[in-house]
Amino acid sequence: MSDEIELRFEPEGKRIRIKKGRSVLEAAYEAGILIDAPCGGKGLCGKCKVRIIDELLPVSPAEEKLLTPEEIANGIRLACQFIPQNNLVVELLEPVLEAIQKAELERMVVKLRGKCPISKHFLSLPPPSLSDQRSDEERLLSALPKAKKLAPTVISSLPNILRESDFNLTAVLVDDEVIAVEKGNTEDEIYGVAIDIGTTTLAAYLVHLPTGKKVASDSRLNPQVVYGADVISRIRYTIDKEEGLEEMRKSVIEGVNNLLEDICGFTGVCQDRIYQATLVGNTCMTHFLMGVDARHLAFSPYVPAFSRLIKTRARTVQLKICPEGRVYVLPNIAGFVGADTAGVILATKLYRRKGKYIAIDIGTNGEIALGSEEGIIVCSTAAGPAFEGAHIRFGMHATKGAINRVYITDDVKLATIDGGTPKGICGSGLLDAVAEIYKVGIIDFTGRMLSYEEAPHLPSCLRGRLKTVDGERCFILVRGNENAINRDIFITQKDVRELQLAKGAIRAGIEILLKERGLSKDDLDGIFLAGAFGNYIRRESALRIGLLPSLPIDKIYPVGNAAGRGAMMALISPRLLKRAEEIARNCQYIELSALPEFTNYFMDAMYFPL
Amino acid sequence: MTELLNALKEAVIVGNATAARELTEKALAENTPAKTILDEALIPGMLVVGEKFKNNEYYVPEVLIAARAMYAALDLLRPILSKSDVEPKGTVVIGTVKGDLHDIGKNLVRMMLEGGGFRVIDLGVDVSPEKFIEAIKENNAQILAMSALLTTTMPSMKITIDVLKEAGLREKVKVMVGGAPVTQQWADEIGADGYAPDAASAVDKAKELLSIN
Repeated sequence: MSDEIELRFEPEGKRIRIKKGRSVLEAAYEAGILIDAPCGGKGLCGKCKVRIIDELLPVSPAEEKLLTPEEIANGIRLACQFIPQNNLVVELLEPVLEAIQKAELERMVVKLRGKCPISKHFLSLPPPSLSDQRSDEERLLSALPKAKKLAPTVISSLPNILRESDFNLTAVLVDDEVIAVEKGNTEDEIYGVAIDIGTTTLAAYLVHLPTGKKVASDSRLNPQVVYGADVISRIRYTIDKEEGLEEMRKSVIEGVNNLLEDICGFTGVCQDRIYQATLVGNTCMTHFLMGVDARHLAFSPYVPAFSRLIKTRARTVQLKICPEGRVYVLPNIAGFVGADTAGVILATKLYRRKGKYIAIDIGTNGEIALGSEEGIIVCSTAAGPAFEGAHIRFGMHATKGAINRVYITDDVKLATIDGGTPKGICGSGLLDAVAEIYKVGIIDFTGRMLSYEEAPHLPSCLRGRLKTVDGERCFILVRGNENAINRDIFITQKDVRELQLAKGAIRAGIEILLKERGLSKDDLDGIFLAGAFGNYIRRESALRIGLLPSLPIDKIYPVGNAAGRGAMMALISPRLLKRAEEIARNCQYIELSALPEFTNYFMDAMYFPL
Repeated sequence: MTELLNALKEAVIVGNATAARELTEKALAENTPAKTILDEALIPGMLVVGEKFKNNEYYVPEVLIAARAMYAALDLLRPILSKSDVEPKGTVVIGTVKGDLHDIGKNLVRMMLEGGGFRVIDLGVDVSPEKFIEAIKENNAQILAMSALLTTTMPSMKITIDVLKEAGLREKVKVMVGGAPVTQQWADEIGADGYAPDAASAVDKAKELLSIN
């Protein structure tokens, strides 16, 4: 008997042969199908639901815990738990994950004009003859006074390009090196790309380098999410699995290349005409990108393998732009403060701003930077995946059907991200919901939720939303007959606790940085909120739950994807690229987990402001 | 006397450290045995705190505040208890495993165990297997409790168990593991004796492992 079996994924119709013993989730990854599994396939989150057609196998303890009996009766199983024994048809319940348009968040118009490091020269060269037997190389170089050498891949393509173009060609120059030759006159086509590798979302910005104009931007889900929602689970994967690191590297570069292919597809820009790329990402993401072991990041004392600016070529990292194109990975600041934070600091100009400002990049991790006359001080907090919907009963990514706004007066009003019927709740929706139920007294300052019996003073339509499910208090946001999943969508007491953890960690980080500089919140001139989450949250709600210190609301500036914008600035301006290096070198880093007083700050910050 | 002990229990539950200290002083002045104060006020008080924590009614800050009140009382009782021949329910060596600096969860378990009448030796964070073993020998501990908050440091638990075996101590202690990414399945996989999903359940588990009702 063969030890291989075949799975077919519907409705996509994709087939894949796998070795027996592997889970449906693993098979799906191999087939290139992304099933959302925030816990990394450990049977903890219950999100990777699929329907198994016509195959009964014992239900695992994890499935028993995370699935309802009705679901199990309907063939719903967890992809990470189901180990097929025979050929099988698997029905996907959520066809393909869609990322929110992180790139669209890039709000500020880039008004930058750097000295473009790339130049293009259209040449009409004299064809060789018996009286002019110079090599192709010499022929080209003699027409380019500034050029001294050809990149190796250029030499191999030069003879054909010269002859196919009748010796009318365009040479691409970086410093004194010819990095590409192209048929005909392509002088106008000089592009660069800035890429932000987020733990959850990849974003790319295509820029016309001579003018510094952004041509287009796009984003998609980081395909690594299938290995777990957070960086630690992904690092664990590379430790547990031989070839895991290479898998992780391939996954991210393929994701980036697919994104580039998309963006070039709809703009009509040829990928080979992109000659420069700048990349930012958290420390773990840049390690994976470079294929460098990241495990030491995940053990105390949390040391990265590299921290300086990386200068390499596209072909070395398999980035699908001009093969000799210059690739820069912005410098890391510390173990958990990566190039993305360098990008945020660059974009918010924290390094040269007069006054005292804080920039917070809220993603899966929350990095915080405080800039003042004394320079920049940074820390990283494990905001955790609560803001991205993980560990939340009805949590989901900020995609179709995600509740992102909640208003409570005498009843509940809410909005979804796309205006469609609600399916679940995303980070900004959760933050809003908790802020609103705190406002009306459904939770107290410790986060404790009232039971129905304790709430006779509430308006009846609010009181009627309090119920107990599986012994846990919860508040119903949307009733089953009003939404897409035909069951009540509610926030549980535990969801409130998860949010308290996340917001407490960030607030504690802010307070510790302030204390470290001897400042109080009233000394602050402003707070920049970066990242998709920072951009979408309602500032009123962030203040109400105490995620941020109480500042006047007009001192809080949502700035969109500042990390991506920083990458774009470094792409356009060599001067700013250099500045990024200085920023990374001069930032003072504070390791919160080594501070004995962290617990006290954290506990205080978990409470809601009175 | 019962009234006083009830008031002390209540002070622990609401986390009033000043009241807890004063009530304990008063109870001692009235010649209430230290063991009675422990058994009839502090332990039942922390039991209520643990229950509230388990069902998410209390969260980490409230537990820490309650524990502070509990310690305000316990610190007065300890010198007396150690002089008398009152035996603790058992001795637990606890720590966060090597490579991991997270201590809040581990501290909660320590507080709950002490509030449950156990003697606890807390080795702190980033604890090497050797340090665990040394402390087990030195204190004649019946339970080793290990915490990890990162999936990457969880393997340190297994390494510690392996070293425990090599040292010939595995049969002498029960091993408990916990922490956000830790599961019962992981506990089984590495051959630990017990797992608890939260600090309050850890006390139940410790009692179960030592067959204390």
